[in-house]
Amino acid sequence: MNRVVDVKNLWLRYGDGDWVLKNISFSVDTEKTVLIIGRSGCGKTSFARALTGVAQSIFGAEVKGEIWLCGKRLEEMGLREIQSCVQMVNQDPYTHFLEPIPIDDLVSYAETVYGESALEHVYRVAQAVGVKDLLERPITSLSGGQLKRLSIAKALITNPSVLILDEPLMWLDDVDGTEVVLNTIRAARSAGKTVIVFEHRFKHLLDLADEIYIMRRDSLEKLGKELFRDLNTDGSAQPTHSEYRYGGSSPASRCDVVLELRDVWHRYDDSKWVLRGVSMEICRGDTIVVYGANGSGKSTLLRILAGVVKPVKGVVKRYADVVYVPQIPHLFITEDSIAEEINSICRHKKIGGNCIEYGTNIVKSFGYADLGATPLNLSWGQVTRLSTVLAYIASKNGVILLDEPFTGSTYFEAHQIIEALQKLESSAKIVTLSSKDYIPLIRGGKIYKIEDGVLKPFSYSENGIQNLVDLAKRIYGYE
Amino acid sequence: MLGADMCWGWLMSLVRDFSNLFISRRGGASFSLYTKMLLLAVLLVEVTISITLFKESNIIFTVYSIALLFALTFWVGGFKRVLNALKLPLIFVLIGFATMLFSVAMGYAAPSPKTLILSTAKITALFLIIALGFQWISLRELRWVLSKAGLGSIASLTTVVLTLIPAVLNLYSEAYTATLLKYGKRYAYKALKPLIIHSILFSRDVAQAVYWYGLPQIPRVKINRPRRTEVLVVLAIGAIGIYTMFAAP
Repeated sequence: MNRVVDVKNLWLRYGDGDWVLKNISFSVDTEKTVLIIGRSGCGKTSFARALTGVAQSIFGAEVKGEIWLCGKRLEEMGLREIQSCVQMVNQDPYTHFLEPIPIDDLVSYAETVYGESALEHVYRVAQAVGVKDLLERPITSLSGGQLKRLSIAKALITNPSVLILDEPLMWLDDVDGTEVVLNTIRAARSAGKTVIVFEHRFKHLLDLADEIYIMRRDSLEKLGKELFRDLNTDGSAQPTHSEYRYGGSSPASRCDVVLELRDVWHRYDDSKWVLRGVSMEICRGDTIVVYGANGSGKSTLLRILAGVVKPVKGVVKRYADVVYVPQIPHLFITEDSIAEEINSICRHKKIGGNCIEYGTNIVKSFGYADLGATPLNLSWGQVTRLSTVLAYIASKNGVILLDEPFTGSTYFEAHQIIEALQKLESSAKIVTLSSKDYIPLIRGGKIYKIEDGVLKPFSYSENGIQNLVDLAKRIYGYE
Repeated sequence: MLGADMCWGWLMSLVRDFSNLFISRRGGASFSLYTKMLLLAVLLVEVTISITLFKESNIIFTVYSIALLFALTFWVGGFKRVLNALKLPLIFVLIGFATMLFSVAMGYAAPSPKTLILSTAKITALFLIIALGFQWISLRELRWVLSKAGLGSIASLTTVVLTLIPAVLNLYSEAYTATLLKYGKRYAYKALKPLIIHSILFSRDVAQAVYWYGLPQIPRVKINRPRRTEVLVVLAIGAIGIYTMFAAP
C-alpha cells in the first residue's frame, strides 16, 4: 500500500501565539479510513487545515515540518493538484457556497473540471449523496444539516483521492443525515478512497474506521479498537401518544408559565408550512428538548421563541427574560475576553451578589483556565460551550434558548453542559437537537419531536450514552 | 416588553424578507436573456424619464407600469417574495410620503398631494423593476453578461457578494437578537462586535472556499435568440409606455 498522506514533525501556530500543534507525525495509507478524535480546541481543525494548505495560505499560520500528499510535497503542488488529491468539508457548511442556488454553484465548480458534461457529474454525485431534491432551493432556505450534505456532495465532485471531513455529523440529524455521511464514507471506501474524519460523536464511526487516533497538542496517538469494544450503544426510539416526562411536575400541576405559544403556524415564502399549529406552555424550571430532522423547523421554532422570526399565524407570549444562543455561537460573544464577557453580563443584567465570582468559577469549571483569552481564537466547540455557559450565567430566572448546544463538544463536555443546565432550577431551558444521542442524559426533561411541522411528545431510551461519557472522560483525560 | 419584542420580530422578518430579494427564481425562463434585459432596460428608462421630466403628470403611465410590473413579477413566480421583500424599502418611501404630507399640513412649502402620490408610485415602480431584475435574471446569466462586457473578475466578485448578502443579513438579525436578549435594548449596539468578529471568520471561511473551489467561473450559459413574439412583446410594452407617457395625462 502507498502512503497517500504523510506528515512529519508538524508544528503549527497562528501569528506569535502558542504552538497549536507540536511535532505531530502521522501517515495514512491509500484506501484507509481514519478517525481522529480529541477534546475541543486540541487542534483538530488546524491539523485538517494544514493538510489542505489553507492554514498556511488563508489563515496565515506558521507551519514547520513536512506534509506529503499523493506522493508530492504540499509546497510543490499546484492548487489544481491539491484539489484533485484532497478535498475537505469543514465545520460551517454556509461558507462552502459561492452562488445562491446549489445547482448553479455545483455546476459552476464542476465546469472547471468536466467542461460541458458538468451537469451530468453534478447529478451523479447529488444522487449518491441524496441531495437531488435540495439542488434548486436557495441556500438561505436550507437548514445547517441540509447544507452539510450539499457541501459533502460538492467536495466529491472532483473525485479526490483523499476526503477530509471535519465534524461531518455536526448539525446532521440521525433520521437519515448521519446515515448519508456513513454511506458516503462507505461509498468512498469502496471506491478506493482514503477518508480522514475528525469527529466528536465517534460512536457512529467506530465500525467504519480502520484506525482511530486521539489528538493532543503534542501528539497524535493511535488507539486500540478494543478500547471501544464494550460500548453498548444500541438505542430504540419509542414515540408516545401522551405527554412524556422524565420526572418533573405533572401536566396537571400548576406552574409558573414563562413562555407560551398558541397555535403557531409558520412558513417561508410560498413553501409548505414549517410549523403547523404548535402550542406549548413552558414553565419555570422546565427543560425542554425539541428533537427533529434537518429542516424540520427546530431552529425556526427557536427563532420564533426568541423573536427573530414573526410567525405567520398564532400567538407567542413571553413572561420572562429570554437569552438566545444561535446555532452559530460566535454571534453570542460580544467582548474581547472571557473575563469581560462575565463582567459585562453581571453589570448589564444587574445581577447582584457575587455574580462575577460565581460566573468565573462556573467558566473555569468548564475548562476555561485563561480568562484573558480572546473568544475569536477559540475553536468552534469551545465557543459553543462558552456561549452556553455564559447564557447560563445571564439567564437569571428567565428562559435559555439553545440551538444545537452540543456541536463540537465531546460526549463528556456535552454531559457537563447538561449537568450545569439542570442545576438551573429557576430558569426554563429549551434545547434543539438533531441527534437523539444526548437525550437520555437530560433527566427530568420534556422531550418533543418535531415532524411535518407538528410538535409531538417523544421518548427515547438508550443504554450506551453513559458508557460513552465515561469513556470520553477516561481517554481525553478530563479531571 | 411584549410590544417591543413583537415590533423587533416584525423588523427582523422584514430584514430577512429583504435579503431574499437577491435570490433569483427559475420562473419565466421561456424568455430569452436578451428579451429579459431589453424589457427591463426599456422599463427602467421609461420610469426614470417619467420621474425626472414628468414629476406632476403621467398618471396613466404610472398605473400602467405598476400593473405591468406586478403582472411580470407574478408570472416570474416570485410575486409574494418580491412583495415581502419590498416591505422594507417601501416603509422608507412611506415615511418620506408621510413627512411630506405632514409638511403640507403644517403649512410649509411642499409638493401637492397628487405629486406626492405620483412620485411615491413611481419610486415603487423603480424598486419593482430592480426586484424583478434580481428575480428574473439568474446570477449565472448576470455573470455571463458582465464577462461579455469585459468585466470577468467583477462578475465573479459580484456573484460571491450577492450570494453572501442574504447570509450576512440573516446573521445580522441573529446577532442583534442574541445581543438584545443577552443585555437588553440599551446595549444592543454591542451586536456590532460579534458581527465584526463573525465577518472576519466568515470572510476567512469564504476565502478558504475560494481556495478549494476557485472563484465562480464564467458560466456556460445557453443564450437563445429572441423569438419574434418576444420582440413584439417588448416593442408593444415600450410603445404603450411611450404613448401613455407623452400622450395621456
